[in-house]
Amino acid sequence: MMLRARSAVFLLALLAAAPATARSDDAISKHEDYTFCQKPNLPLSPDVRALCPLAAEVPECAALIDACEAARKEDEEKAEKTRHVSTPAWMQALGKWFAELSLNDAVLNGLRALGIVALLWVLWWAVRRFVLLAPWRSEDAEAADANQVARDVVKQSTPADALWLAAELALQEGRSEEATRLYLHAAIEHGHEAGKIRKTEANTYGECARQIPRAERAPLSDLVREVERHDFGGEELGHENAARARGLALSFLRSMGLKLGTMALLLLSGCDQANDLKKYMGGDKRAAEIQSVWSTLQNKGLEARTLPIPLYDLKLREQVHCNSAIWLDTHQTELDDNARRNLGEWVKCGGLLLLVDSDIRSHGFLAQEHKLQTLRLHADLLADSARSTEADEQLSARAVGCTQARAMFGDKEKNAIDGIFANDTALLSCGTEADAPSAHGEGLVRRIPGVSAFSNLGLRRPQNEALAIRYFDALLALPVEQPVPTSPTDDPARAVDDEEPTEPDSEGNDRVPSPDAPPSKHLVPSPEKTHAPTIAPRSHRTLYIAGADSGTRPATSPVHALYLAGLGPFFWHGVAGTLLLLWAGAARLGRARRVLTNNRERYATHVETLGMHYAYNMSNKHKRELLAQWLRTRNKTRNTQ
Amino acid sequence: MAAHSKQDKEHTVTPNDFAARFTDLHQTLARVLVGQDELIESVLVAVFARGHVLLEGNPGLGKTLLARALAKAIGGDFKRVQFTPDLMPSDITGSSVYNRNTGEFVFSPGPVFTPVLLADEINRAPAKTQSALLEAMGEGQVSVEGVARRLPEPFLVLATQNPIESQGTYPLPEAQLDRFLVKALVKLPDVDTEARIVQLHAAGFDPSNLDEVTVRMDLATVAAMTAAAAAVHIDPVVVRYLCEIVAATRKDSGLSIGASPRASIALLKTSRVLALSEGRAYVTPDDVKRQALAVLRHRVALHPDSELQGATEDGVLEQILRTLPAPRLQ
Repeated sequence: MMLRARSAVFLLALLAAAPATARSDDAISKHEDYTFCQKPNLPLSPDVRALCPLAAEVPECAALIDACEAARKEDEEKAEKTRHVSTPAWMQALGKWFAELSLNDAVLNGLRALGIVALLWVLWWAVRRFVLLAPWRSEDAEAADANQVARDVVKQSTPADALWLAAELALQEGRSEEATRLYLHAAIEHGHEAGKIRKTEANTYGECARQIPRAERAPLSDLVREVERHDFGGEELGHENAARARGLALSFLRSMGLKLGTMALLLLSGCDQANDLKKYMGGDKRAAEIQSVWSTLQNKGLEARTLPIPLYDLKLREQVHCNSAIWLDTHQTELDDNARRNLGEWVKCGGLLLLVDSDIRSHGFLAQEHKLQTLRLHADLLADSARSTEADEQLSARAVGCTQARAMFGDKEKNAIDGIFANDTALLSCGTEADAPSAHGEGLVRRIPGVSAFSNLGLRRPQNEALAIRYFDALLALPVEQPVPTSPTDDPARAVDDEEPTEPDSEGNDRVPSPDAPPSKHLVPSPEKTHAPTIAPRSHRTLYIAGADSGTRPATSPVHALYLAGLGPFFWHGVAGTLLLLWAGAARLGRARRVLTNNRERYATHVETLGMHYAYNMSNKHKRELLAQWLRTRNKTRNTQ
Repeated sequence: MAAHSKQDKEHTVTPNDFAARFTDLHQTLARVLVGQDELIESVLVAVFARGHVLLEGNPGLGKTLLARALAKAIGGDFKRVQFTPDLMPSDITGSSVYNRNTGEFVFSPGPVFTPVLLADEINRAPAKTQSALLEAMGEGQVSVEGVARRLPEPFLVLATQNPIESQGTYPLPEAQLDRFLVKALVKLPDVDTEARIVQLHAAGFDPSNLDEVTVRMDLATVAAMTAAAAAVHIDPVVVRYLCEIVAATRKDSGLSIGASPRASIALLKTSRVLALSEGRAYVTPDDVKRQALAVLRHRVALHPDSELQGATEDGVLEQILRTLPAPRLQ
């Protein structure tokens, strides 16, 4: 009824609208709200000012027009004042002074002269710094020993790393007692950083050791005893004690494994970067390992980036220049067909593919399909010197490889490598393999050691880091056209290649390169370019590191994702089963039902349905009421029947 | 055993030999006293430090068994005295008895004349009886009717007291508690340990027989090992740390009575034995810290406020050990 009444009022108003127009002016002018036109309130409100442009069209609105005009003038005056205020007096005075100065040629010429002198001084400094002193600087850099590298490591290390390094230096300099103590401190600090040791001022070293699980405790307990024997037992500590302490500390560190390195690197690299890298590399461990290599390379001026484009993308050759290198860990990055094809083409055009700890032979698309020239340089930088004590045979076996390493790194490195063996600090085993040069392709595929060799733990020793830097320096150097030496002895690297040609042929047998094979462009570093401890200023490839998801195209749809995960058949089984169930349900629900003739029964069914609806929707109040009503109705129905 | 016998004759004990014998003795006792390794260690430390042990624990935890097994293992005699309110000093020390045949008074030694004496529920005897025993413990001799009589070497008293009953007891005063080298807590076993004990008995173990315990050394060897323990090197830094721990008990607000210098000496003795038991001829701060509770817990008294707040002697001492800086390597 109310709606009908409102509609009638509205229609009546419409019907009355036409005759009312004729009387509108009078009516409006007499309306109370029309006073804004005849007697506007000052100052004008924003709403009324919005009507100013229309005021001229309204009859008897002169007062509003005047008020609008006054408001406009007032605004202009304010704007004018603001303009004057915005230019401070001191700026005007300064502008005037400059105007006068420009007229004075003597002052201007003096300023010009001073500027020229300053510019010349800067140029002289730059020439002296980067040109004249460059040779001496290079020599100084070449003369920098492992300690300099160690100091660089210290800058980016945790306190435990610094303690370890201090212990190493003390051991090298013959300060055995101090070295032994520092090894203990470093080990405890490592345990503290790993969260396994709660280090307090009141804790004795024995208590620190007892916090470690019994299975891992023995090396640290022995180390504690080694130190306490001197400090509380009055026994002298010699070099043997310090070396033994070092071995015990290493054993303890090894028991804690890479977790320490991961934590330290996460702390060093910052959370955001680490998180991005972790996502890119597909896990904490890989990210931590690659971060170590990354930091090492970037600190030494080499360029390392993530891949700008996935390997499966057809634009790989456009985005990633063939004159660069790709770091590919096939254990982590799976390759689909597109990625394999693109990668093969990219290598063929001159790219350097670094396969991390992976056998080239297992990648047929690289070794056989394109028959690429391959050269393998395999260097194991072993941080775990304890392994060196396992068997002397290993040492002798590595010594053979070391002979080749000397050839690779030049004679100047011989002493360094010998020193490393003598100090038992790190082991380097080098071997090179090369197959016969192939006429197909310009690129290279190299197998490099697992990234764990370059982890934080692996690079802890300064010698290791120095060797790793040299290794990457040689690895990423752009190929240089070199004349093939006439005899193997002229070029040690070439001699090495000729010694161990182990790349298999198609039948899996090692084959000896043909003497008639054409000259190759090996990435063999020449001695004069590789013996420097730091990287010499020369061209290097940009290193791109392939992420975990770079090799496989992501799923375009959920169904595609299931297919990629190998769940395609299960998916279709599920679809078929669902359809079957739907059909069965529909058949059951679609059966003809008994026609309810009784109104009361029909109403009861309606109430039941509605009650169940509320029940399903958890509306307890309505549910109870409706169910009660349904029960009453049903009872009545039954009673009447 | 042959090597041991030879060394017994020479009475020279090296740290490794001491550690081996100590471990052997420990394992022997642990075979019959299951799950009480800490208690056994405290008792053995006291044996080789020439001290006496106050055992506090509920009845039925194997205190008598420990004393008997220890006495048998070190080749000595064992006697037990049940302290009661009517126990007289002469019941412990012995007295002169008239011999009709000779017409003379003959000294009849009391149970104190034994290498291992178990003074059961020592706090149930009156003060004068306690004093008689404590004098014997301190002096190593007893005076009966004006004649001083030496006690055998070694002389170890294992005194027990029950912590749950206070009626009809005569608590030992602090000055007399100080005469005990260590106070060991005999803890109730957990279910697993108790199951092992029951299985041991089910397999035919007879506590009165102690066939499982064999003689591991003689009293001369015990004396030699005691002498070796007294010669263990202790660095001044460790001595300083030891004294700081004891001094801290006198300053702690939770304690009304701190430990005396005798406690420092006791801590030194026990730390030496502990060091030697691990094959070391030098004492570390770790040894001191590990023995601090056993040596100090009966030598300090809680402040009433702390006691009302539910603090214990062990809790206060542990707090001191947690906060007192340990000697750091330079």
